[in-house]
Amino acid sequence: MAAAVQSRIRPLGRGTSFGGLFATLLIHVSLVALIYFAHVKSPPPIEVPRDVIVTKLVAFGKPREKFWLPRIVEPPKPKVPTLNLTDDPNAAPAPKEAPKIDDADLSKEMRRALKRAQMLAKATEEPAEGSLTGSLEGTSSQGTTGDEYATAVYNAIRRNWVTPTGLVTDAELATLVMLMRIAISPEGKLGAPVVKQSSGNDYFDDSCIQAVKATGQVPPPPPNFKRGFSLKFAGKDMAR
Amino acid sequence: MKTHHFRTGLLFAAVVPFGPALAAEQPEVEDLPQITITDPNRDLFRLGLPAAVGDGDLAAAATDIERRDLDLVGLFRVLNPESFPDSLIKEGLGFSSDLWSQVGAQGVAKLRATRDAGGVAIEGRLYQIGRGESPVLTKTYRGQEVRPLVHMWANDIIAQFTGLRGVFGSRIAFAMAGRHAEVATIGMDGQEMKVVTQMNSECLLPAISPSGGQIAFNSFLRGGADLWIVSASGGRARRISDRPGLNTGPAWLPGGNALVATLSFEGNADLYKISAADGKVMARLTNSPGQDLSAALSPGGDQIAFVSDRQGTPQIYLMPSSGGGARRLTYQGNYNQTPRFCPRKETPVIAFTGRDERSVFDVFLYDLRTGKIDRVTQGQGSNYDPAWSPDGRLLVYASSRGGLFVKNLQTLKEFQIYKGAAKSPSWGPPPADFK
Repeated sequence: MAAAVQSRIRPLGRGTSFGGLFATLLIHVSLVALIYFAHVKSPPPIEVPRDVIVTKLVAFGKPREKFWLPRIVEPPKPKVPTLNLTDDPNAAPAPKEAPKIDDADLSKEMRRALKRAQMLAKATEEPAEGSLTGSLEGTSSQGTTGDEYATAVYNAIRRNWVTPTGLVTDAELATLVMLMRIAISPEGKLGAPVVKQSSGNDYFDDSCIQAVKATGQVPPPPPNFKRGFSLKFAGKDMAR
Repeated sequence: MKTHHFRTGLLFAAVVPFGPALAAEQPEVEDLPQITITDPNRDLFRLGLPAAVGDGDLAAAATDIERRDLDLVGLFRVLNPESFPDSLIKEGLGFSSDLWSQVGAQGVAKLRATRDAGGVAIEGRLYQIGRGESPVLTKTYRGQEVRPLVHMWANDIIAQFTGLRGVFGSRIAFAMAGRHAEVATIGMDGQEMKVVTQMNSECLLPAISPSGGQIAFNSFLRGGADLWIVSASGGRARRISDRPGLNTGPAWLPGGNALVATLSFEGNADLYKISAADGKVMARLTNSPGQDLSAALSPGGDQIAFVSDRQGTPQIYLMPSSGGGARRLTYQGNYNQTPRFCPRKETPVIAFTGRDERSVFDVFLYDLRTGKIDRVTQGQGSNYDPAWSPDGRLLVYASSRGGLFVKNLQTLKEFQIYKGAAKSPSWGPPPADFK
């Protein structure tokens, strides 16, 4: 019986151990060679040239009211009766404590109001969604590409760009385009705008120049940043 | 090059290399990336109006008039002077572009008001941020009263910004409401109101003549609805038409020698051209089964807009001023009335009162080129009886909110100029220096 079992677990090629060893080595060498050549001869990753993209991530929205946020409401602590005594007969009466939720004398509405106030006080802040440098016009809270610095400059200048309603009509505005160039110092200070192409409307041009001047400062540029931007102010987004 | 992945919805504006045309003009910046900024914020032009310098009370009065005028015209956001630091208040007629820029001003108007033996002198200077430290406009006015001089200054400022002078100094006639409601006039700045009739009966539908010297109106003094004319400066009115039935709805023809009025002495209420001197009928303009009312002349005097119920409900119609050939303009709503032509020939638009589906009256515009109707007022009581300013920039109308309101049609800024009960405003001609 024992001999039968031993014969079952006998390794293959018993009596021809060199051949088995050789076969194992051959298989391993083949595998290593296959993996090596697969990496060495694979084509380099294709880098598709493309334009820099301004991304606009969603900005932090208005924090939601704490009451409406999901949370775990702790059960009220059990009421522990306390009795404060004093030996002084002229002592002032002890200050009256605020009513407790589980006071049986309280009306149903009062109990509900107290409970709500207690929940509001205990609700904790949830982390806000979005990116600190995001745009109010963004539609997503995540992004993986784009030129964050161009976005920051865009946001800063556009925030200060106001065209006068009464002096530039909506119809005129839709046709106006102005080009300028701005330099940005390593500290993020905007240089004086250099107008490259006027829109033909003084009030529109003034509003563009004023937007840059009012902005004044933007975040310091990244290390590989070129010396400035060309800005195109268009009264209407033709892409829309 | 760093590989970028992007997700739809994240992209808003592309930063693209310089276009070839621009790059050819400015090779030194061809390698700069371009940011396209679109859809600016919209707001009124922010105008700083520091207190006038000069003679105490006179300067204070000039400041008040200037601020009210430039606020009312609806083109500017007059900055709160309390936000001005001392350095700006003490600046006098000088100007520091940087300091004013810091308080958010885009322009600054300054005044000096002085009085001497010859009367009042007003010196005004207008500065614009970004146009250097020198004024873009400097004017000096002399006269006896400060108000008309400051009005002229305000009109010049408006001309500087828009190319067309303002019409401060013009007056508006209106019918005061009530049982013994007289005809009154008021400056377009809501000041210097004057009651011009003493009829002791209800007066209606005043219409200022093209020269501004006379006002035609309706009165029930003798029992019937008669037509009267009174001097715009007040005095004794004269009756020009007391025919049986209706004598109402006067509208002046250019030149001021004739009126278009609704008369019903022949049985039906139709439009007639009558002499302004004696009320003699010069021509019958309509002959329809319905009632024809509320005529208004086009700026050139060649067309008449009026209201008729000849097809069942009151609607606006248009016909040549010689009469006949009327065509219906309005088909929306079942109660449209009081048409008034825009005085600018290049803007063929009629303002009128329409009753909407909630039975509320509001002011609308009818574009004669497109037939399109735009709403001017909404959601603030009933608003009715529009009348154009002589420059076509503003509309004045009566409101159930009480009083008369002026609205700039471009910026839609509204300003109440009269707080008492009033109806049927009629805007007089522009001041003599209007061009």
